[in-house]
Amino acid sequence: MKEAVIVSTARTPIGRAYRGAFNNTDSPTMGGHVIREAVRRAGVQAGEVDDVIMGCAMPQGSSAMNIGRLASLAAGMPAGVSGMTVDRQCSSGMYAIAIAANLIVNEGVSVAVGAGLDQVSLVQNEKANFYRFGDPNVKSLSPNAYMQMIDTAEVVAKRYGISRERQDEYALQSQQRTAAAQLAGRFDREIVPLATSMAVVDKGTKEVSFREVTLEKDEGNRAETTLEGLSSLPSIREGGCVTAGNASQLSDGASAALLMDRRLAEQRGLEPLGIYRGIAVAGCEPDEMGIGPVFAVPKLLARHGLKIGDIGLWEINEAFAVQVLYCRDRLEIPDESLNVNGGAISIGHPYGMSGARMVGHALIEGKRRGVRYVVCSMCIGGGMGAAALFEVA
Amino acid sequence: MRESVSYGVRNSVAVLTLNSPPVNAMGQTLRRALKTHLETALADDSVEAIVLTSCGKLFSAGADIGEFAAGVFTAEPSLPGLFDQIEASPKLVVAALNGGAFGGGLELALACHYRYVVPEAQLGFPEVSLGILPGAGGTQRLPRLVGAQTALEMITSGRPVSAYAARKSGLVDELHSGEEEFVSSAVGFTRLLLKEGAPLRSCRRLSVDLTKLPDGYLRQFRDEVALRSKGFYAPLRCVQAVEAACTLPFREGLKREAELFLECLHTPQARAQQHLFFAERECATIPDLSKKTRPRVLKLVGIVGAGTMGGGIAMAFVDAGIPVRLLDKDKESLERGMNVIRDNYHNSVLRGRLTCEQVEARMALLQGTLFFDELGDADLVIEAAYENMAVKKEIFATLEWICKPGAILATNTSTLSVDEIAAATARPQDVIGLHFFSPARIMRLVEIVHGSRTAPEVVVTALEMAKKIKKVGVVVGVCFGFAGNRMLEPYMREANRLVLEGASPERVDRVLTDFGMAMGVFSMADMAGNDVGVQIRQSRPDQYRHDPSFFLISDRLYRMGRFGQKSGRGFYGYQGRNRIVDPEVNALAEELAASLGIRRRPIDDVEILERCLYVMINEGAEVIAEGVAIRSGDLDVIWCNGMGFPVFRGGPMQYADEIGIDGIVAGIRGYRQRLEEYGAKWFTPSPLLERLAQEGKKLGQFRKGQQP
Repeated sequence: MKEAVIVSTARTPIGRAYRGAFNNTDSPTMGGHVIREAVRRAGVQAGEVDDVIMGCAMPQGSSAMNIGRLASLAAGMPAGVSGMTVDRQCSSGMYAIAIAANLIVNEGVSVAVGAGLDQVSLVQNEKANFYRFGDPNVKSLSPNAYMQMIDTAEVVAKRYGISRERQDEYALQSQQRTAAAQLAGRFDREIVPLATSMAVVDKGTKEVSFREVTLEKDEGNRAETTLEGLSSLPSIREGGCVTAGNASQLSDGASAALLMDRRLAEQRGLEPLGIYRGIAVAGCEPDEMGIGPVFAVPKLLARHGLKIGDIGLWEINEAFAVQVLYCRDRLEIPDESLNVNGGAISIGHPYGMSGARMVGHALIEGKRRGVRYVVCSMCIGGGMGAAALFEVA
Repeated sequence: MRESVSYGVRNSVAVLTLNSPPVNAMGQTLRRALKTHLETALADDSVEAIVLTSCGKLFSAGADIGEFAAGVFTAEPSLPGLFDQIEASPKLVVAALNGGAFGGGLELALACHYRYVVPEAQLGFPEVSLGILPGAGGTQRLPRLVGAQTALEMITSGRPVSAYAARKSGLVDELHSGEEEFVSSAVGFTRLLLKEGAPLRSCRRLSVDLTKLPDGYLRQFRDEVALRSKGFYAPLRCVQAVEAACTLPFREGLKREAELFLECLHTPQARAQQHLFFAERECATIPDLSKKTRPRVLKLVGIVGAGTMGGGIAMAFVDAGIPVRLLDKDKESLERGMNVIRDNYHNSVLRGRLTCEQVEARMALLQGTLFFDELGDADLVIEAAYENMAVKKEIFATLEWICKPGAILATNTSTLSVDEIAAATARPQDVIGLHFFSPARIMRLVEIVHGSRTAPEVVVTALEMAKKIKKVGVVVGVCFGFAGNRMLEPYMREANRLVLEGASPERVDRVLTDFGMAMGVFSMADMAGNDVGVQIRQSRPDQYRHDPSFFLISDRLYRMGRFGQKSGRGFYGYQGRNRIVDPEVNALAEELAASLGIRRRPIDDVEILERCLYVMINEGAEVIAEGVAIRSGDLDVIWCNGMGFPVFRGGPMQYADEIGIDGIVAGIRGYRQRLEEYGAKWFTPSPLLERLAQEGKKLGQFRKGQQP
């Protein structure tokens, strides 16, 4: 049977939404930037790529009209390279990689790109399209289908008794791990800096001016975070426990991976990052969507005859500290092999990008640590979980 | 009970005297007392003015930086609030500086309306060297008083200025002179101001004089600072704070200063620099030594060997005013050595660092000799001969014969066993290692090698000596390479191996200098001379016989006569002082790799950095686990003062604590696996690191003889 290997990965640094460096960067430009770099790093010709699969959780506005195709064109790929967009919310980027892998394993494709992005600054704002948002028919059958993510996190906290204190402690650890990892250069292998124009609003006059900037590292991390600081933040919902500190950040970013038929990679003497082994998705109640990984991970491991202990490194998307804690403890994942360099709480969470970023990062960090298997998993809005297995090459 | 501020009234002037030994650090207790007495003086109608002074050698050394870690440095009354209150006083407040004023101490003086100062006092803002900036109004008040140029120089350099210079710049209003007791004289100065009806001259009412500033000065200064402080965080923030003083109203400027201060406080750089500050002080504390141990007298120093090392050491002593007899058995070598010293001093005169008179005075302290018996009355003799055990033993046997009883006999060996050398004498208690680093006059580090039989007062004398010649002495135990060179070996070994695996020497060097190392491995090897390492490695072949690639490329270049700068070619070629990349080295690396069956492959920067640093850190952990070093901070002091490790990272062990021990252990394990046979040879996590990683602890918590 054919095998798909991930040969290269490239991502933008993650910008803070609205006031960050990418608040004026078009989605296709951002996506094109990382696709071009992943292709360059793999040392293949652009025309060799068969298809570009792009995950995106908010495919509207700047990200509308098949962002996969547009980003491919923005990368300077020839017209003959096709593209598509996939939306499975926060797992979109990882699912795009899985689709690209399946094209190689099952369809005889030699080279494909799996990527993900979201451009919150330009899409999730006053211009967002809420025209006829919310089908009454869906609501009558599944009352919580449109529930806001933050409310699902509060449900998880209440239903499973996870205290604010533990969430804040987890968030602190996430910040500290990212700070240490940044200092140790542990994101350097994946990041490709992006030079762009940023909009700056004058605090006094509200006048907008534009500044040329080059973002070289993630800008959301707060290394100076303290537990006191976290515990003094107000909860977003009255009487709740989720705060801006123990939830993921709103951000902008893109990440791409180049996948190849394993045999072709060998012929070319390339050193892959890892081998795609499989993906599993499972549904759960929409009002506790955060616990999706609890269903997806066992499904995935069972298919591959593996146990939790066989996995050397874990990434579970930090949508909210509360759901990571529940998934970690329920699945009995050791803390020291989970999100070892922080996650969406400290780095940021461009929804569609995160899955692609996590796969790239887990493979690089897994290789650095000399582990065999890595699993990336995340909860998915609407009540699902996804988990994918990779073998470090 | 002693009060931290005492209060008295003389001639209708209230005198508030800081009395918080040893340095009048402005901790919370002192702040409270100062506030109380200030308010008493303000409330007392019979008091017309206030003088602020101190008893002790210093006026005040500033904020209590121990409070930073504890987080109480902002506890009320905070320094900015207190200074505000002083500046706003309706009664005249005069700072009477009886000694140095630094950091918060100088900020206190700036908050007063006038400054009356003893001429020998030094005034400065050392904050930048702790990775922060003056955060209690200093960056806003100083430029208003002395102009942006002087303020920028003082705040970004951290260097203090003399009272005379301060008088000239306007920072000081009057210098104390005459026979009168200082405080009464300061009260007299205050009475005179009252009599003349002098205004309450508070900085907040002044604005920075920008008229004399050359065009584009601020931008140019900022660019220069950016260039020379690469990697540091605070210097540019210092500039921004002074810029704020130039452009914003006083209140807003203070707000900006506070923001910038907080930005600096929580950076890895601030933690690193403060760590080094404390580590350098802790170095002199040796747990096994009784505090009562007194040092021996140190009035005359003998040095054996007039080569580069001996000459450099001799200069370090005469620079500190300690007479030296410099011995070489060979007349020509002695003359050459003395001439090099004279030339070096001559250059110092040309550069304006020393006057001719100073050089004359120093040369007068230095006496060359060919005869050992002239070292007979020296209190300390330092042997700086060839790195060869037989040579050293012979010298020590002679010293034993001619030196007076109680003289300290030191060896400058960089790798040999001090115990073995000591055994060549009948007084091993007097024998110690003093490992200076090249160039010895410049490098601040001295490794003080504590032999197994070295007497406690000999160690204490060595520490004293280091302080006297303005160096930092770190006590280490006996082992191959002691602490510094022992950690250097794995670091250089990986760099050598990476070249075989496919990274070019210039790439490896660039990655290391980008990280902040003063020099790359290969530039350093070329400078020190490739031959030195070869000799050291040949002395213990058993340690690396299992690895045929061990320093292979270095050894091969040596065999080709490429010794480095001294032969014009090494890892690089040299045209005059210019270093040029030599493609032959990469061709040689390819050939050697092929002969050993090492696969050449693309290697990224992260791998280069991790492999070089992690093995060094791992060795450092072994060094402290074995008790060769007392604490991990000592290793940081060694590496930042003797081996060019970037100060803004605080040393290799601090860097390890900052990036996390668990990640390093995981990395070492990862390389062990990925580098296969080679990895299995060299990549084994130190048990100490493994334990700390497991328990989530830091190397900084480790102390010799204690469980962290």
